[in-house]
Amino acid sequence: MTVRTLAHTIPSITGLIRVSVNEAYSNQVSQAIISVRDTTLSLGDAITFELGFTTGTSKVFTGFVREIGKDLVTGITTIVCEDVMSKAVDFFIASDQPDNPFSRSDIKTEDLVEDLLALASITSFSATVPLEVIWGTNGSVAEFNLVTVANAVRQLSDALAWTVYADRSGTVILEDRPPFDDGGNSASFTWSLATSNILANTRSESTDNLRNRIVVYGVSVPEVVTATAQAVSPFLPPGFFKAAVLASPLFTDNVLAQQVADLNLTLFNRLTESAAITIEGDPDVTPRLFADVTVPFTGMSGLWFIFSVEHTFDNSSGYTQSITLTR
Amino acid sequence: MASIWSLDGNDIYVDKFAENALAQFAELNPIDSTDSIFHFLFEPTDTFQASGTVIGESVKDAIIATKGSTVTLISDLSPGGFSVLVVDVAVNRILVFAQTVDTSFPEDAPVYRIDATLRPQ
Repeated sequence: MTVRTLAHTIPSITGLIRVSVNEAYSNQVSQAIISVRDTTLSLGDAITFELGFTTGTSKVFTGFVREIGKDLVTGITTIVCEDVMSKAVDFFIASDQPDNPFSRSDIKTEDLVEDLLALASITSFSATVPLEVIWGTNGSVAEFNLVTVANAVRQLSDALAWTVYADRSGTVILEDRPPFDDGGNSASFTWSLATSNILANTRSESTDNLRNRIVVYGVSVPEVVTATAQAVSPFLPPGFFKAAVLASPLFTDNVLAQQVADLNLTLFNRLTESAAITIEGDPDVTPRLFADVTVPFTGMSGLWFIFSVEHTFDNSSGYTQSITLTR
Repeated sequence: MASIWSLDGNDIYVDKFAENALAQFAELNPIDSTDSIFHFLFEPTDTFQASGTVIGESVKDAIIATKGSTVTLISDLSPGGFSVLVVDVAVNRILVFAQTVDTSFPEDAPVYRIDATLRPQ
């Protein structure tokens, strides 16, 4: 028999009832919802905390208090926190003069993202990208106006099939991290029925998100910018193509447009294999890492990408994690 | 033999007392496991169950009126008394020909069986 005692470092609260933390590869913002009897936290306060057991805790969240609610009937105070990327979601780019928007030319992706994040006072930034992609070439400029910083950054990262997120320490990361093993990845965790505390597991595969033809439209002046990338999919009928279109005035030359098409074809021309797994809580389990999973009944084996993690830490079910895996 | 206790100054001839101390755990049962994992969650305040006899309608009503309040319970082991939250009071009337337990009440005074759930404060 194993007995563990829950432990946390959530500050300025009394009477913790429940914590849930949601982190996902597809979400720019991670969220923590904390239910307590009382708190001295106020809106806008910085908060960072660890979850785990008395044998060890790990940091799972760094962010800000965004909402505080009180329920008279239950006597519960609910604190909603979001990570630093919520500042990018809230910051709406609106230039003083419509004809003079935020613009950059001949700028690398990581520098452009850094400049955009700085608009939202996000200064802790790190980029790990394999390609040097230049925006605002051929005498044109990359312009952003009447859009949030989060959307602007997402336009850039989506175009290149990269990802932008805030890590658990509050640093915003730009990296090339597809939600599958593209080679060279290793497992940070090993889960199997024999050795791990797996509480539930389901697996599915579908072609819903498969796209084997990517069409890119860019600017039309001074020349029409367009590119196409396509490939036969073994999971679709022969000669059948499912198309996706990316259109943006940010694509100012055909070389960039072709890069965008090729990168997105690699990302989307694949079967979507996903699995849901529930395990005993492990605060070190983080989205964007890999796990080696073996569950013969559901046909799971090998390396799986940790797509999302939902921590549930409460006074009725203990500490568990619901994890979505992809490959 | 019953012991005379006092709940907020009202006599109860207690003949049964139970104390329930609980540790609350979540039980996780991994697939294919042969042993549960327990997550210790919390220890709620102990629960006392005191049962006994009460003489007289006024005393019965006074005890019922303590529900939801924090009052003093004096027992044979705690003559100085201690505070308890009265969570629940269940009353059953016992039909008797005559009571001689409490001579300050007439012989035909009603007799009640009371079960009280108390949480020490």
